[in-house]
Amino acid sequence: MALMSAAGLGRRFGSQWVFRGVEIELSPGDALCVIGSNGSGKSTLLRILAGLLSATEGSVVRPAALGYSAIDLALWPQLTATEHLELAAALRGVAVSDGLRRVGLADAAHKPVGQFSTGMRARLKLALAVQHSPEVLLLDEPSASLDDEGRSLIEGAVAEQLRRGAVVIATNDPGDRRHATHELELG
Amino acid sequence: MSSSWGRQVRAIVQKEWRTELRSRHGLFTAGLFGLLTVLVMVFSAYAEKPTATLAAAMLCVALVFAAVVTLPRTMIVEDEQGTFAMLQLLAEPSAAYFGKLLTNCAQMAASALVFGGVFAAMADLPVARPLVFVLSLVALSLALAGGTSFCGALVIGASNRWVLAGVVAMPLLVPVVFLGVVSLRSGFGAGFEGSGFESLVALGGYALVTLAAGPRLVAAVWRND
Repeated sequence: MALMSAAGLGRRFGSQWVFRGVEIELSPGDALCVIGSNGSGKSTLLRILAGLLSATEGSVVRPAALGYSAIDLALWPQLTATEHLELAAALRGVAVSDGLRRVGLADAAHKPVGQFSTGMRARLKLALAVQHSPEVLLLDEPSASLDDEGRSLIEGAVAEQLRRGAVVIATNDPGDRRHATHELELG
Repeated sequence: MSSSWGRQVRAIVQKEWRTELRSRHGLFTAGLFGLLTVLVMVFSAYAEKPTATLAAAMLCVALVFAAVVTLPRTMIVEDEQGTFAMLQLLAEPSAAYFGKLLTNCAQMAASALVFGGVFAAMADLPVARPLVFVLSLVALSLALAGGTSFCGALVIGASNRWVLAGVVAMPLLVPVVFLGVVSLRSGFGAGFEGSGFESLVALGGYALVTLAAGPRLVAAVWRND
């Protein structure tokens, strides 16, 4: 049974179509890599799949639990990392996990996120995205701005995700593409 | 109201107070703007005591402007700092809006009671009907919070958010200003007590409508699918 599917998906900005006729069907264990040049619509497609943007045409069937992390997803600068996890857990109705330790942020748990580096923010966003054990995990340029340790965290998260569900990665990074069981090229 | 919706509202209220107490943007802006306006009005009318009607209008104007410059920010700031997407991912739109609305109501009610007290004391105006006066301030602040929060929520994603919020606020806040002046005027002792209560009921009704309808309307606007 498909965990997530998209049929005839298209998005237009003004009169310009970014992509049309995208078909996606994800089953447990699937790792779909969305590739394409800059401006081909990779991030737009992931935002549509996440429910943050509406498609101009087509439909998406989403699972109940969906995780999403993207480089342009912002965090609340006044809140600490722990408070982010507590807030997300309260809003999702799940228990607060030890997510910060797993992404190597235990020492910065009580620091306001406004003082975080880009890489630390990316790690926190990953912890938030997988906090509720989603059936499908959407990662937009997951390795951008991460060091080697951060990249191995992403690899670990993807491997763990593939054991319980599916993952969609928008990337042009050869390291991220290694995980792919399927590829979708846009543009 | 489901338990998950209530839990989400509580979480949003907690988040709003945490961020507000750390940045203090809304409290400072409303406090400085409101108190400054009240002081300017009191000093400008130093030589002659304002009439009850004029005093009610002055106080109402101070509260309206304090609400307009601060309250839409709780919604618009999420768009400006890019956290609106995170909020959409985590919470039901109606719960996120209602949590922010409750925070705005509490902030505005506290500001109104402080400004009203300071204004009445400094202008040396007797509050002839204290119950009407206090209830008017509370109802006015709830109606203002409901109206301005709704405007802020509607303009998320627009390019000229602040200008648009002001334009949308105009027709929504005109009846609030009118009813606020009439009920506060009654609190200061002018007119019939009955007319004050009638305006008070109308203000309360307006506040109730914005509190009840706002989350449903905003949920329809914020939802992308």
